[in-house]
Amino acid sequence: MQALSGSIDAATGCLRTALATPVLEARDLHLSFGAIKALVGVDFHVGPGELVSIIGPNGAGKSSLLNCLSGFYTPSAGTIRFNGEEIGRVSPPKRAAMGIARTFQGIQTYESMTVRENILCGCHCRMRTGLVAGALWWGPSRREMARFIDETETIIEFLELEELRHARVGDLGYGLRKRVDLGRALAIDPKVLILDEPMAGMNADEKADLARYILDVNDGRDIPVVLVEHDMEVVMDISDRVVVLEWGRTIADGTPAEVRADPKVVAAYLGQE
Amino acid sequence: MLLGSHGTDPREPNGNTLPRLLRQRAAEHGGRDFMRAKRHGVWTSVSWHAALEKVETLARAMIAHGLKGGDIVAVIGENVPEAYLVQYAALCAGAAATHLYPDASAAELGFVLKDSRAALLFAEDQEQVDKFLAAGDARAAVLGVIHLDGRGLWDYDEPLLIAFDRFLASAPADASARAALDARIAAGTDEDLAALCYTSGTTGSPKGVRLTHRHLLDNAYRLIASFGIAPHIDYFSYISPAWAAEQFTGIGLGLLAPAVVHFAEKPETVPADMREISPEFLLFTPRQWEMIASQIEAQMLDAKPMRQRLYQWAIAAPARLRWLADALVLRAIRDNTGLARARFPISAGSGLSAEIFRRFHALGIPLKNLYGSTEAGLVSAHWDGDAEPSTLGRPLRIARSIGTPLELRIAADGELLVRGGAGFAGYHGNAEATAKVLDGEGWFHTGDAMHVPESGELVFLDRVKDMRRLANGCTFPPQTIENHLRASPFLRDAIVLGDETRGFIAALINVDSGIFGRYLESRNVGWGTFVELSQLDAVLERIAIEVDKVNAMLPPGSRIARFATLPKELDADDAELTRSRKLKRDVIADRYGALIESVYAGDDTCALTVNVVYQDGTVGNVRAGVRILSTDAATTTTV
Repeated sequence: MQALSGSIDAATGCLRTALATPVLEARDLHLSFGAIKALVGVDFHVGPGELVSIIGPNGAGKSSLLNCLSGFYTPSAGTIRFNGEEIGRVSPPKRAAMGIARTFQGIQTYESMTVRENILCGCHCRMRTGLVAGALWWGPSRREMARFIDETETIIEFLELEELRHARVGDLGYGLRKRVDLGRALAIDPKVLILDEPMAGMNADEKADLARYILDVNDGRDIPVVLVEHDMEVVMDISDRVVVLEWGRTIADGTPAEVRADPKVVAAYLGQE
Repeated sequence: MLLGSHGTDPREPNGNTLPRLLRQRAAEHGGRDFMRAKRHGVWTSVSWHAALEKVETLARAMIAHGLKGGDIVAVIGENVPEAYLVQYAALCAGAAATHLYPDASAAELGFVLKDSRAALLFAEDQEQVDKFLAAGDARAAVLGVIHLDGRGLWDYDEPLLIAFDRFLASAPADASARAALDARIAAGTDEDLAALCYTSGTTGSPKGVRLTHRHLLDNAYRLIASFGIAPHIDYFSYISPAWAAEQFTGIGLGLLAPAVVHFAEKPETVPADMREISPEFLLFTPRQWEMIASQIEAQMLDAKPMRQRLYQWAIAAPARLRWLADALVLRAIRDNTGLARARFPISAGSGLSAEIFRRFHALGIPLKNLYGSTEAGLVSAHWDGDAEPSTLGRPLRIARSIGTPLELRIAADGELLVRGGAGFAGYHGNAEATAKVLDGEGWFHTGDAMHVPESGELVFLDRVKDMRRLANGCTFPPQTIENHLRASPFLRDAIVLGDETRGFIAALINVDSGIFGRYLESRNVGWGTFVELSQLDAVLERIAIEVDKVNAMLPPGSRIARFATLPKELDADDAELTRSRKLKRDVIADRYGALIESVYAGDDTCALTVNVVYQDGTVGNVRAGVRILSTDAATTTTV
């Protein structure tokens, strides 16, 4: 932890707002499934150190947007840039290797493996030594493994999972499993973290815990976060910026206070009187 | 009067201060391990060289930040190696340390900062830093707040905050800074303050007890010489050094023995870490020993029936089959709880129940009681002879280079007075409070009522203020006697009688019908109702044996002279007990008034009528001829 805090420059707070070059950016994104238009000219960006939430009613296009960003869908039109580089045609595994980490809805951890093993899996896409080297357990692959274990332990400490490091993930509760899921996403050493409804199905305590860790990832590790979440209270509480989608279009983009006051958002969420 | 002795161990303090001793040990043991802590799931060691290097760097940084000789450095957080290194560093800089428990409130931290006028604060993490920020004007004297874990502090705009690593890096390394530190270490004497331990006084605000270098090393030596603690023993540091006992063991004994001091990764991992360390020497409070005992019980409840039976057999195995029980069951349990190598598992702080004490011995864990106080230091322990659960052992041995052996005296009101060793250095800035407990002849008044039976081992009775007095001036501990009685399986409850209007102590006893049911069955004694059972010869004889056992633990003036068994069970429905089974003494005194008068009148029986409320709400009467018995103690007291 000391190493972590030591490496973080106190100036990042100011930098965050001053710098405008987005880490991940989508321009004029279109996506349709047959006659259904899932995304209609959506613009989206997340800047360095930002925590951006995407909200909207069911079917608004939140998951479609995430899937375009992480590469599972190829948009019919528009561009996606990662640190200024066009990545519209790059496959999901390659995007992960570039540093675009994503967690999915529900539980996606390996039940029969321990907490530490699950998180260690996240390092897999960063392995430089191959199958043969791994099988022969040569120096380079052994050193690489030692480095990954050390990074994994740093994540375990960061997420306060020390007493559970050797516990089977299948034996843990939902909230803890999502924390392990977050840990695995951190293990790919992400440049941006995309979280798809991480708090669905959690109780208030679990939500508060996870929100704390997401904030710590954002503040302490200075990783930009894209969050899709239904719980308005959490979203308004922790986000720097909120993007609201409805029927595949962006209807609002601003600070939580601005979005909350936006009549279009109120209408979309509460219905017209 | 109990007289202690001098120790023969050569590791005498010889007027050393802790910094000089640290340098000496580092020169002797260099690359050997001094501390071990778990980081990132792996045990990492700090050698004597590395520890000394870090301590001196910290000390130079402290001096550079304006710490003067005689200042105080406050530390708040969990037990981590850094907290210990910080104290050693403060001592090198000519200052002293005061530790706070990690769960201390902001108000408590504020009080300590203000009372000690601490110049620097080491706060483990955001939680502790927040307490400092909430401490208000108590922060005035603090020159800097050093935090070990920067998590969550990223956005804090507090000029006093410094990260531990940066603080270390800020230490000047030039020759003049080194010379300045050398000068401070050379100037220190063993009468300097080493630690301030705040006692949670039951009345008024806490008082800072002054622990000098001499006092810490004196107490470390008491343990080393009495128990025969070998060098480089594996010690597990668990309780905060805010507790004086941890100052004596973790800080003092760590250097003097020396010990290898182990730290858990965090509080939640203690059971797993303890198993990996398997410490040889550890100091827990009775609460923690109770937790370990119940953890073992809980795990046995989860075991298969066969294993449960095997466990029950093993803990009660006869001596000749002890080896088998050990090989089959007990060794594995000791290993699982991390007590496989525990040669000196010590319980200190308050009384541990005899039942749990015996349970550990049955498991092959040689648990020992240790008695002491923050002011007087460690006084007695089970270091010589058998560990008898009801006693606190014999006086510990004192180093010749420190002073005279311990002298223990029981005052007229039963209070234990202690003298000898380094003695009590007084409360911090409170001479008035010091004078109340330390008399002109050097006796420290412990406030604990004690008794020394023929065995020569200390027996705790009660706090002096909780003692009751008889008409003849004799004092006795009513609650302690009741607790001893209740510890017997044959008794469900007991009420001890006697006050300034009475000449002797008597007890009303509620027998346990369940246990007696089986006991009488095995002796072919028939009985009908509880009234009958309670007055049977066999029952009264058995109770008399139990009362005699308790009497044997008490000083002659505090023994039960007469007793009677109640003809009905004490019941919350009859308002005799609270719902949590606490005695309602005034109700009992009223309902059994006739019986109590008969007891004190010297009658052999009492025709008693007590009304009871049945479960359906109807009221009935219990009529019984209650028998009153006298014990052997009755002949020595005025009945």
